[in-house]
Amino acid sequence: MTDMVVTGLGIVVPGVAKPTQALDPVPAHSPGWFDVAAALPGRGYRWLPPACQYLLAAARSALEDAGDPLAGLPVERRGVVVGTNNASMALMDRMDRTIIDADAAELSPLSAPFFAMSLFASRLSTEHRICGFNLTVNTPRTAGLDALQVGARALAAGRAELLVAGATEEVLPAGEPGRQAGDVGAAVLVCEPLARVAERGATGYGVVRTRAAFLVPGAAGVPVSPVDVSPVDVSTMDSSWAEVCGAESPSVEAVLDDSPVGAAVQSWLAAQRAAVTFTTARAGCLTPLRRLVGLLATGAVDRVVLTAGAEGNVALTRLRPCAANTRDPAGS
Amino acid sequence: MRNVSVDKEELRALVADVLELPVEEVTDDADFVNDLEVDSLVALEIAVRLEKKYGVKMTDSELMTLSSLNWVHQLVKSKLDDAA
Repeated sequence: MTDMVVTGLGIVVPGVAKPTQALDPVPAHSPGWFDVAAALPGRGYRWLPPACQYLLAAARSALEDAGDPLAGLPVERRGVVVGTNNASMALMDRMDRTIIDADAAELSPLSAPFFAMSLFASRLSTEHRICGFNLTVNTPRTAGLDALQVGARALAAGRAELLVAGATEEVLPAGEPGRQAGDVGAAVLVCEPLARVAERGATGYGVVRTRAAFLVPGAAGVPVSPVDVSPVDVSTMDSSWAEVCGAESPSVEAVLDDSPVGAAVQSWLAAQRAAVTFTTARAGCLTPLRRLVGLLATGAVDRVVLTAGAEGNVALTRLRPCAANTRDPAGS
Repeated sequence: MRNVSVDKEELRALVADVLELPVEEVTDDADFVNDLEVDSLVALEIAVRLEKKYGVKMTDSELMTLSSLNWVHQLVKSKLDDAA
């Protein structure tokens, strides 16, 4: 059983002050929208790459929101899974510039370790003493929801009793396609098995279950490049839907782009009887998780969040109300 | 642009910036490791910034014994004098 209860929410996105605002349209942002000194007081944060700062700040909010779930929990019973597509791109671009225009010897030692994209999530382990497992997922577009699935499997296997799951992205460097409309910020969910929620008397926003699917562009299951306009085989969508929803038809939050895969999923959705809210996908994996945070925070928990990337990756997360001890959305 | 002389207050500002401390806390004799919580990565960052600003290179053993503002000031000054 890979369902888990979401007990804490945190979000750091331009124009969004708290999780209940996560469904609001994201405004255009300017540099300096994020005040690191206010969000992360103290030393040791100023020189971190922005996507790491966003992630730390969102995680801090989520853990506080969950009512100190780390208290009394051994460090090796805590886990982290984070999705990112673009966290280190701007940093790598700056590093390239330093090497080309100056010298590799001038690379900043404080930034250099983030050449490894896994370090953004690793910093969470250092910050909160999370020593059970720490994993970074990079799948284009779906990595945020994929993080929930991977983490849920680990909880179900008994590898941990608390999961910090999230996504973080930074503005793409100048010249990158999608830069104007890329994801920026972070969203974090604290997730626990139902037994632990009951044991510590916590309350949950809802229960989540995530499944992955892959739609092969082109006929007869032969993979082709995403720019090919051959028909996309959507036959696996039915079984993936059934895995998360059974015979139910909850409303759908769809985060899709205009690639052949995105268009095919949109057509498939039109053929279902569910009501659908569409959000245009941005470069990055944050938007689907941001929508999920907003739904949970506002109590809109009978839903599916669905997203797909041009390469064929699909992720679906089913949200359901908690059986007991449901959070009052008005109090969030 | 590289400085050919080292002004102690400029150096104090550089170190304070890396350490994320107010300039007043980086006193002449405050011990970097024991008083100001400098770790090896921060020490490396200071070394890289000194090299960029003053054109001086630290040896590994000098990096290990980075002790105070006065010590760094003397070290940079003597390296610049040697180079002149």
